[in-house]
Amino acid sequence: MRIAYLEDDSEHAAMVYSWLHEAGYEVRWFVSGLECARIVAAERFDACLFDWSVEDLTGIEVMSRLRIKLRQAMPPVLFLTGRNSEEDVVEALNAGADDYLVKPFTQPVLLARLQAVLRRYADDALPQVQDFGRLVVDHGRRQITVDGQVVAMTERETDLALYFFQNTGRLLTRDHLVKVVWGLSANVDTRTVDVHVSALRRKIGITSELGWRLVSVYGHGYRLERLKE
Amino acid sequence: MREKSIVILILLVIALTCSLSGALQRIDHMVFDLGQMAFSEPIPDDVLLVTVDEHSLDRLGRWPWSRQVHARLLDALCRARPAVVGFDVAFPEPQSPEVDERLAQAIRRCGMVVLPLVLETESMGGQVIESPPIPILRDAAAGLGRVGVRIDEGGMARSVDLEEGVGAAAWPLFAAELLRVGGEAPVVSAVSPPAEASYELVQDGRRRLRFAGPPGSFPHVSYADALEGRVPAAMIVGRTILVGAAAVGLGDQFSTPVSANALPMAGVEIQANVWLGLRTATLVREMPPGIAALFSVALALVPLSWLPRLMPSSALFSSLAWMLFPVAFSVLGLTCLQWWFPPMSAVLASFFAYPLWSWRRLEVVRRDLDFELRELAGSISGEDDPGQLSARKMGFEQRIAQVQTARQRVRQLEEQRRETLAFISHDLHVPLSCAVQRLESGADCRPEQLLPSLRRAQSMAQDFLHLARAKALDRKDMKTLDLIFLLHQAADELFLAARDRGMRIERNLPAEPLWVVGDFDAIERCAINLLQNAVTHGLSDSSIVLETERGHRGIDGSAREFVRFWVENAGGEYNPEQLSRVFEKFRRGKENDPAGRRPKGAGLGLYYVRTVAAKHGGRAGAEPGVEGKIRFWVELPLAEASMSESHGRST
Repeated sequence: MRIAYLEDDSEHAAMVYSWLHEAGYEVRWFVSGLECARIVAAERFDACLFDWSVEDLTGIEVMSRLRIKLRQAMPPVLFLTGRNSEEDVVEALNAGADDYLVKPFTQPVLLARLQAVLRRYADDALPQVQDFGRLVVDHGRRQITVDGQVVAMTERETDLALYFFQNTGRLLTRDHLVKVVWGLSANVDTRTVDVHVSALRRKIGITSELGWRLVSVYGHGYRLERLKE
Repeated sequence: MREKSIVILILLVIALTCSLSGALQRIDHMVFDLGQMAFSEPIPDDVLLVTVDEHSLDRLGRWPWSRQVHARLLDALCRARPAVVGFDVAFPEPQSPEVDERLAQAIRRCGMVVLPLVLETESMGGQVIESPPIPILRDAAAGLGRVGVRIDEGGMARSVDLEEGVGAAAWPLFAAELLRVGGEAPVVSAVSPPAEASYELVQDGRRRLRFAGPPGSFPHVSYADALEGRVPAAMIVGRTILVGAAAVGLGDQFSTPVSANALPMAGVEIQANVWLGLRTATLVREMPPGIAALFSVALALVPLSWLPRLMPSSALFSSLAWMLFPVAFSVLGLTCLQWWFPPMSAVLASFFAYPLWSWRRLEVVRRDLDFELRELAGSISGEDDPGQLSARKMGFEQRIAQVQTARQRVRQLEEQRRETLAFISHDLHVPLSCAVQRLESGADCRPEQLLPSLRRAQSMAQDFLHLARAKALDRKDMKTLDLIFLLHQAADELFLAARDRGMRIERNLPAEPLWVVGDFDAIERCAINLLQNAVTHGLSDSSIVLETERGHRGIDGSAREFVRFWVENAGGEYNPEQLSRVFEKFRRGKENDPAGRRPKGAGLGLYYVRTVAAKHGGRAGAEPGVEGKIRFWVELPLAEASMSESHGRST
């Protein structure tokens, strides 16, 4: 797995580089946004890790340039920002970023996010049945059981729940959920999404007590996370 | 400059209107009268009035008398050799040939008698006719002059026309004839009958009279005394003698500006005043209206030369003082140059100069004030909404109050800056320099020892940043969000931390969403702060309750639905005084924690909660719960959606 890493703070970069290296990734580190855009367009990378801004370009500009050149071949992009502000995150997500991380972050979190975005672009088939102990998700039979009890849900809620469990750890924007679960033609109020997500939490009991967290990202999207023990 | 032109224009209009319309004439007359009284000419001693007074009527019987009596008087007077005799008695019709002849002889003998010519307005038709003495007398007289005076709008005898007559302004004044016959002044114009037959009354050379004094000021003797030789010849010799009626009831009486107590002045005395004015050249010309108007404008505009440079009080006093100037100017012109300039238009206009100028200045000041307000509001925005400023209806006081509030706000910001500096220099600096010191000493730098102080510094800095962001929250950017989802998320966040202390977070949350309009991040952080607070300060192995409740509360006069969420835990004792202060800045719960735990964070956690609640139009508080529990709560207004839509749509 080749990772393009854009970061102009060498101290921070050295640390992240070593984390990724240890985890078995091949990392190419860039200090210049222009160079990064040029190389990534020419060579194949599996994922990008972009700092919010480097000296010559912002991460978003680099991403936009790449997106024009690579189109469908665009690798997933993970943004690293020092400012945990809603505008920044929403701007990055709207520009097409797949997820974001707020500095300072830890090695496990970085790797988990990276894996989540990489998985979306790999075609590894999910197991038909995900067994999380008390919680079992059966994609084939389209049902979820908690402590052996089948959770009663509507069709739409089931679609949503299964999609969440297929994409654990990934940031799913509301627009994306509307497209996938309700279909492209549906004219769905974003609040409807919220209502359904709330219903999932309530009916399945997706809480930390069960070992799960359902996180809202600035009301822009959701991420289902497995709580690490 | 524009402001000045506006004021100039208005003053111009005021001065011209008043001056040309004559609206202030009465006050102008008053000024004139005061001026002439203050600077009156002394009465010379070579004039004597011989008046037909009450005493003479008692002695000589009813008026009119036989012309024989007049002839005898003239004989008596002329024996004492006066300079000239003005006989201000009209003889328009013959009495009897002998008597008329007798009087003519007396006049001729004297050789220096001036007779009057009266311009009369016919009672029918209003035509003016000249009414000279009968020819025999006229031929005998040394001079013939008009005795008319001009009566103004107020019924006052105020001025004379130097030339007046029917068809042509041909008749000299009676007083002028007196002077001519007395050999004192050149003839003004020869007495000649009108060249063309015309019935128009011609008047020319109007002059204002300056009266020498109130009625009775001129030396006078009774007709009867003069006739009967009781007047010493010394009083007559070489003098100008004026004979005329003075008794009330004989007509020929006029109101004059100097008539105190409405006592009228006899026509003969007015003639004496005219004579004096002509002789001393103190008859006063009136300034032509156009020129007077120009003067008024010029005088009214003078204050504008200093008003821009003076402060309000000195400007006021100087303007008030200036109002006296046109009057002084006018009186000076009257007494020294014999020119009359009506001053009141200028006075009135310069009276307006100050208020008008002040008005324009205030407008300028208001604009400046508004500009400053906007600047201030701009520089301190983020906290107060600057929309208040757009209210144009605000009065001056309100604007000043606004500036004061803005200033207060600036002071508050200054205070905040001070606090921030104190925070950075103490709370942030101390743990960091502590860590640096350890690293520099080199001896043992195990991460376990360094991490706590560094974490502390980091979390403080973060708290501080969050607070700064919360203070800049803007209603515009808030979105409708599900509070229940948010609370679950916050509880998830604290799940592990609570478990580590053997605590459980009990979520007594409703199944349905509760919509509020707000900032997701900020409200979530509020909930996290409250839960964190409970986890840190609560008793271990206890449970923390997270609960919500809907209710009504009067906000801005209308009852609004709100939602209250709270975190309740068993947390040892807080007394009410402590509870009321926990939401203050840099307060770290119980400073003396019995367990000896160092408080985490900068003590901004609860202050943050209160700030965010206020930003959302809500509030936050703490109160003792049951069984020694303590409850921290936040109230937020519900979004409209929550009220109608209480059931989630499930499709």
